[in-house]
Amino acid sequence: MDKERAKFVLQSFRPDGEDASEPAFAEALELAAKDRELGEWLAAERAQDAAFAAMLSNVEIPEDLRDAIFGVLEGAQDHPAEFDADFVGALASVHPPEGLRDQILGAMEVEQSVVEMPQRHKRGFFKAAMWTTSAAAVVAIMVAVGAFFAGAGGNALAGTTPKEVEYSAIAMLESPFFSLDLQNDRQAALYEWLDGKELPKPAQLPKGLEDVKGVGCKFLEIGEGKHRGSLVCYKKNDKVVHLVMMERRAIDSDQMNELKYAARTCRDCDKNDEWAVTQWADAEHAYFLLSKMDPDELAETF
Amino acid sequence: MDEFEDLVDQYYQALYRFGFSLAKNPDRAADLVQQTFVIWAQKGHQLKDRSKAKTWLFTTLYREHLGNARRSQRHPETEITEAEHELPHEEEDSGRKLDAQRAVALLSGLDETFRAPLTLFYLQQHSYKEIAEVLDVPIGTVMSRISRGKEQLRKKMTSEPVSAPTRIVDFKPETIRKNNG
Repeated sequence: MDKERAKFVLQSFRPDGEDASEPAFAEALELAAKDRELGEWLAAERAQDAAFAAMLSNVEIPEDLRDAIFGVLEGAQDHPAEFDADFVGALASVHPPEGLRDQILGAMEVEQSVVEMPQRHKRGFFKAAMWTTSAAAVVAIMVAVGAFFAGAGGNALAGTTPKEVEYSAIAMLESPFFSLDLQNDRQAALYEWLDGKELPKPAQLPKGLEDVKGVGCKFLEIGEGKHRGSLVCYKKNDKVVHLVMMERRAIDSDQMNELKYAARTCRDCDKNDEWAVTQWADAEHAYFLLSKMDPDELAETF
Repeated sequence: MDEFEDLVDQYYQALYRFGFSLAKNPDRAADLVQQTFVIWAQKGHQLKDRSKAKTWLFTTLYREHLGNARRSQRHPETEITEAEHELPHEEEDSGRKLDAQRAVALLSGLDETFRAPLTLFYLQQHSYKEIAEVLDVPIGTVMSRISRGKEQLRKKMTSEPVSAPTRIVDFKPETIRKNNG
């Protein structure tokens, strides 16, 4: 080992000397013991390393971090069970599509007709029929599961009446599968994203939401008509306020009288379980505001 | 004391310092540490060789950080807390001594390639072989990165004198607007 190689190796030698017994370091250290210049270089290098390591060890650890780790763990240990329960519940409520039974029986008929075919073709055709049947079943189940999850935490909201929209919005927000399409704390960035996707954005915001930070937004489809809608989340008083927006025509016209307020005069907030909710409409859109806070607190937004 | 508690007590501080230098943010560092132990609680039992627990924990934290970094690249966001760390802070020590904050700031300023191996080296809890395992790179690469990382660190230390207040200037227009009120 020459001097340059020894320097290179010794740069990875921990300043506390822990690695001294490692063969690679032992050889380099032996060389440093014989070569004065290398020895001096090593002493300086270790001093610098030790100083930097000491500084790094002075990085303050948050006082509550240790407790937080155990706290988070307790929560995490609960979650798998909850998650499993949710998942089992979700799967249990998946119903096969109506036509699936007929599809399977149809495939069986094809299979039976194959009996009449020459023997040498039978196995291959039987296999193909079984594959078709299995594939159809798998696709059907996937579609059904997908539809369920879209409903639970995806972007589909049920509803032709304001009450239905409100309930399905709460179900979506409380779903463990809920996620935002875009997270950004700048309101302008969220509206830009909605513009890009030609999704509704608020024409006029309640005063209390004008200057707060954003959280994120999401594309929604409302009702069987799959009307385009959007969700924008804001941070207010450390709580998240959710604004669901949709085209007016997503709501049955005879139900629109429930949406009698305008954005700045909507002062009545209802309570729906843990949620404070309110709604209003303008010429083009219907709006639903939801947050896990006291209705009076949500009313202060206006 | 059970194994989990023992592991937490042994490594949470070093993991936090490692996480801090990677994430450059105390809250995210704490999140990384918590997430690492949550993953240990869920999957740690699969580790047959318990002597590898330390490497496993640091590897997990590092991977979590990389995952977060990938996600935030897809959905960039600016948090006030992040900008706060970019603001100048007062240097209490007028001498040449480095303080902990400066050490982290210097490490944070290094290229991503060098930051992780060098932080692990200075934490002194890992041999270069263990660092190679944590970062999933060859041993020679670790040695080379430590060597080149130190070189970059020295240059930074020389170009950013300790006596002057440490300031990481950010040219992002948004930060400038924020700083200007």
